Amino acid sequence: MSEFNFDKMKNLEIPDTWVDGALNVPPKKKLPVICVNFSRVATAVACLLVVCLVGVIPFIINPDNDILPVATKSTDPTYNTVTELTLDNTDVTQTKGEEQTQNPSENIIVDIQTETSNPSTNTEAIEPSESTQASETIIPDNSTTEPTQVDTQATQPSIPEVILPTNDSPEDSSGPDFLSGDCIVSVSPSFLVGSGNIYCKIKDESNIHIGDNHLYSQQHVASFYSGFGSVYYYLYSPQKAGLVLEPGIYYYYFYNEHSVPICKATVVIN
Amino acid sequence: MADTLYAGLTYEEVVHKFYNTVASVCVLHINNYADAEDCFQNTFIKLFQNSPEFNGEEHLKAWLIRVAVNECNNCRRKNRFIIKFKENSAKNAIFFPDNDSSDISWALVKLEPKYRDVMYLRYSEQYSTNEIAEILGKNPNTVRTLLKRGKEKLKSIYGGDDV
Repeated sequence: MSEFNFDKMKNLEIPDTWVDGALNVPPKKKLPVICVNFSRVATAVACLLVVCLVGVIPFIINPDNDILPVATKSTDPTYNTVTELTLDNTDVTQTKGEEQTQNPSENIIVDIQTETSNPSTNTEAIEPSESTQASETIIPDNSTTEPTQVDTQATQPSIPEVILPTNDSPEDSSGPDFLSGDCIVSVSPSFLVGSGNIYCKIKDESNIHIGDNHLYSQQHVASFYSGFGSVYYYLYSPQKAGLVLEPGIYYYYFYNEHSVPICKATVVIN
Repeated sequence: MADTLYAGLTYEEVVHKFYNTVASVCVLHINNYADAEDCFQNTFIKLFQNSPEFNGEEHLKAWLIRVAVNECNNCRRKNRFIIKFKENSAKNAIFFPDNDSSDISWALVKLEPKYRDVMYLRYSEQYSTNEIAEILGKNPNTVRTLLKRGKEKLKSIYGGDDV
């Protein structure tokens, strides 16, 4: 290539207008970027703060954190989907308007928890009075003699109806005398499999199992108490099962022959 | 305009020093005075408006060449669908008379665009292969290949034997 060159290309005769045009450059445009961005940023930050405050204030106002579902408090993975129902003697008296004959120092049920993933089940736990007379313990009656089925498919089922079997009930409500720590639950027939036995195990506050480790032994069998229509009531009596419970809080787990959880009840023994 | 320095030179000094290089690149790509002028002026306008930092005059020159090439490519792409009348295009065209047997600039403009850049930068501006690769944003091996093929095509155009 040494014989040839590109001199003409390198030394072009450029018109003066080209250079003049390049020298007369228009001034730079100043964009007001900062002002626009600042307002947008400020608006976005304000919106974020408002949303955060709206979300945090309920937790600040209510430190007990009742907003959270009970499922997050449960330590037993089997019953994680349960919801909580609280019944105490004060509410019973105010609702029913009947005379409270129960000794306040007697055993009371604090919580009734229902398995929501199971088919419709109306489960209640009733803690009778220490006097062993079923009629002395007053539980609110929702003006129906038959327990209604609770739709457990809903995330927040309504409070199950509790009916205390008495001698005046249309069904045969004869059952055993109630002892300290006894617990009655209603069971849907869908839970009854095989022999139809319902079992119950008890754990204390420390989540320690009380009683026989064999969960299907006779000690854990809940006895049939009564039946109203399509709902059956089963009674579990720890005393009759040979268990002596000290005063404290206990958790009753009811389940069927296939270990399908039915409900969980919390019992306070004073 | 005199406030900003580009590799130690004012804007006016840059224009006067490198106008020929930029014009050559523009003419090399666009055989049309009007469009070449636009690309030429746009190159310097971008230098003025962006005011980039340069390590030296060689860096500045390489930057101008690269911007000029990009401007020409944009112009060609924009005018791809524009039909120009043959008469006007002939008046506006840039000619390199081949009256000088040693100057084959006229043959250079007949090459495909991808060969023109590398050939001009290599044999007219005396850039190395790596420098050309850096200016044009290509792989050095690609530049070597383009140079080799460009020489063959150039030879076929001007009909010479020496490469």
